[in-house]
Amino acid sequence: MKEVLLMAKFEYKKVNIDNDTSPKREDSMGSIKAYSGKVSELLDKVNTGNPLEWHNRSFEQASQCLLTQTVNRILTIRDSALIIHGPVGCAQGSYGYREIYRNVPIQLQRPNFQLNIISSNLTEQDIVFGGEKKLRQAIETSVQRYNPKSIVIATSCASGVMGDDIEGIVESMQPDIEARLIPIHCEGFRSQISQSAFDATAHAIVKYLVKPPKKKQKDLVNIIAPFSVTWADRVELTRLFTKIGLRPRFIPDFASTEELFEISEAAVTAPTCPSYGFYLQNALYEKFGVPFFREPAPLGIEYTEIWFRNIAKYTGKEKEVEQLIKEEKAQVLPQLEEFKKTFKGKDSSIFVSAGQARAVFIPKFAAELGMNVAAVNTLELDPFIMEELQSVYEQIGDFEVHASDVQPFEQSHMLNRMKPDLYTGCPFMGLYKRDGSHVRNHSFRSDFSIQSNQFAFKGLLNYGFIIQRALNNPSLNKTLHEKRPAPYKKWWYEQDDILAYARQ
Amino acid sequence: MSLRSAENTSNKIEKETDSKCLESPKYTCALGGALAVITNIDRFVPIIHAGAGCGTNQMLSFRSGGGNQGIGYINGMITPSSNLSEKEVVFGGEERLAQQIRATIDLMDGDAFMVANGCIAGMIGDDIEAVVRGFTEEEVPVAYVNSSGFAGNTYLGYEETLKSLINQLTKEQDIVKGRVNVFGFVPYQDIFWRGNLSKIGNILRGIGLDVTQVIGDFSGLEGVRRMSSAELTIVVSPWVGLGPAKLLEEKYGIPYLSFPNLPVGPQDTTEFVRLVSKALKLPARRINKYVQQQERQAYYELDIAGDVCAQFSTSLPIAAVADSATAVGVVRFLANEAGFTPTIVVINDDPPEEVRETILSRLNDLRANVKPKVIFEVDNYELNKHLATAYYRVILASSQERFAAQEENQIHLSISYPAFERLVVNDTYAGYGGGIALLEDFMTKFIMPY
Repeated sequence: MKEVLLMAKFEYKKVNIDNDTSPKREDSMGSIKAYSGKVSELLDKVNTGNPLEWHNRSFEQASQCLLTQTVNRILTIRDSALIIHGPVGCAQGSYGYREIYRNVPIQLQRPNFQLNIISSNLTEQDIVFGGEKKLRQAIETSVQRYNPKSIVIATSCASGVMGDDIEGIVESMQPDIEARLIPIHCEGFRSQISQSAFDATAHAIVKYLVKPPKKKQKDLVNIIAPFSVTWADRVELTRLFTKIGLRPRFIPDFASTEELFEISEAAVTAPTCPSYGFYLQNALYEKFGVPFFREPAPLGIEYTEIWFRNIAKYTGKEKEVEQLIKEEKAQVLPQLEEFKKTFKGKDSSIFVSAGQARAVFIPKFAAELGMNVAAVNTLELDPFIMEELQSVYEQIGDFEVHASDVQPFEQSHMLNRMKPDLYTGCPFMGLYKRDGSHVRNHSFRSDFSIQSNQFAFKGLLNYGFIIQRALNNPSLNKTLHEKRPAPYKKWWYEQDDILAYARQ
Repeated sequence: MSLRSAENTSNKIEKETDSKCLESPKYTCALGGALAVITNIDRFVPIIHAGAGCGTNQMLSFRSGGGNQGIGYINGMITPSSNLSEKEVVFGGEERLAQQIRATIDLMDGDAFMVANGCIAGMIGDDIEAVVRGFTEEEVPVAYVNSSGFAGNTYLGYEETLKSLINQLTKEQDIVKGRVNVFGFVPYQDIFWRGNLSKIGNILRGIGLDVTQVIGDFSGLEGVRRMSSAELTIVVSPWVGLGPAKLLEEKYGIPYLSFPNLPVGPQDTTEFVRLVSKALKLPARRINKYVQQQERQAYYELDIAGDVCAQFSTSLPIAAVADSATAVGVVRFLANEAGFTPTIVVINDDPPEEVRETILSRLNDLRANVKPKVIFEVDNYELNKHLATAYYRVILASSQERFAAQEENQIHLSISYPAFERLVVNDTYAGYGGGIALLEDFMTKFIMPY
């Protein structure tokens, strides 16, 4: 199998938990942020032993950094406080997450706790004299105010350029403080692959927070769950786990500090997004021997079956899992068949711009519905997604791949050329302003209706309805496309090279 | 490393809040403030010279909190950004910036370009002025503002950007009689900035003036250049906007006046109209006629809401948490003309010490026999402690206060940043009808059949 061939090529570096932080992904995985071409060509290239080439862009648009990508969501760790050690602007990204959480209906099992965010508020004086005084003050203030069980310290560009001795402060203050101090190195300039923050976060959690196992808990399953696993997904997965007599523990977002202490005792760590979770899975395995499997994510019927069977292997729940699959499929499959029959979008095309798990699942599902996959856009390319793309390619044939680290101008070029009927991706890029439809994406994180569940068996059906409705009405997109000016000059669309600014 | 001695921050006064860490302060950094201005001047193209994540924080997160105002033309993740990496931190970012400006002019369709820098560029000492000078031969102007995040908050970024525009893009010209500049509304930081500007503009046009607001309309580069031809600058805030107003006075002799709060409802709006009219010596007859017409309509509307207010809200205790102009404006209307009892007012925009007396005096001369407790507080934790000990039935605040309010079954309406749960495009509580609009918005949340 070609997949195995790919696996063999990439050597995963061992986690060195003694280091202050994880390496950046440019180095550890050879991730790249600029690529465009057919998936068949990409796979040929990689399978014949060619590394992915790094390209800088001479024109770039607003993007994400290590802090915004991950760390400001870590505030959802219960009984903790998050210190964003930078000027006030760096803390902006965390406010919204706090509100999303507070909106979860209590009847949907929202645990009752406060989310605490402190900005160390670095100002001009601190830039001159160093930010260490303010960080100490922020730690002391967090202890006094919130009495937390853990305190996450997120670094910033400013603290990084100054060279604040974060580890020194942690070492000197920890003995007098009950709360675990967890420094995460997410200086924005440290890596151009913002997913490096997934690793930095995992590194810090395993290094500073997780305790060695006292006993093994056979029924405890760690589930890597970033924020894109919606609340409705959690509710649905919890329902399924309860049916087979297992306890899911979603980590790290929304786990309590004490739950995180004991994730070393779990039977297995299951993935939902390999890119997000691999480092955490790996670190838990290397340090505490918690087994894991890296793929697939429980998206779609087939993957969900494999996912649960994998979990069964580590928990001895083979029988229960088979029964679960049978029951759930009996409920969902007839509805799905019915949906497929009435689905009106056959022969339409979709452009998928998403994180790694969805970038793989949506094309497969769209193909199953009879749609054409025009292109898949991701933030970055790395060995994880290569393996996944290989399996998608084998299943549905050729399509275009574009890695762009956001960069709407390139995505706009591609959309303009391909004119797909559907585009699924983030708003705030203006890309919905075109003739086709837009499938909403991240808003499911703050939509607590049960219909926003996209994971596991039923999620597939929900996603089908979402696509169906989007196809039916592109009027907002069309109207704005016609009536409002485009930000890029015409020449951009008249030349063929989407990577014109990534050639230097 | 050397700290760049930027002229526009060197004489900055160290504030009390500068020495403290803060829980969820209700503003962003200077870069966010700068971008809030630049992205709202028609066909201006901003260029962020900062780390990659400043885009997400300032163009996305800050704006979601600012009434969920979307990207419009060049905004959001479309915004050009140099996305500084480790290499630039070590070797400097000037070359990268020059490359980015060149490419932006080639690719993006705009009438003017403006660089706003973040912390990294400010710390490593990039000479942005020199880089920008390399583009003086271009057909389109390229301006810049020093907006390092550590230099100050949104308000500083707003003022520095307007000052940079005045210094770099305006020149001496003939004063046009009846032309006024309006400052004080900071996009997103004031979630109603667009509606506020438009309402204040309509009032001023109603008394025969020609209004330059620079942001939030289609005046673009022309509007920027018009600033130096105004007869008067009107600052609708006790402090925000005074910086650029003073610069226009220094540079071009244009006087300014400051109205200390958002005029909400007829009483304060008439006071505002009369103050402006006096400064510009507008004909009394015209003004009287305008005021009479507007007040007739406004009190007619209040009369319509009067019954339900009398039934439900007579003397109801209210709390307000907002920037000084908004908080004072809404509290004055509700106390002076609508019969409410303001119990606590939290001012969270960190106004300079010297204007705090003015702010207090506007809340101490309420027509009703009530004196709310007034707190100046930026830190969310301290702010909540004050609210926890106060009694109120209605709280006009940011979306962050709604959870505590809901737990106590109190009525909450977001009127200040962050308002994550509110979509604001044209909403405003300014002007003669503004008070009624405010009543409609929060009374709707609790009136019932009786």
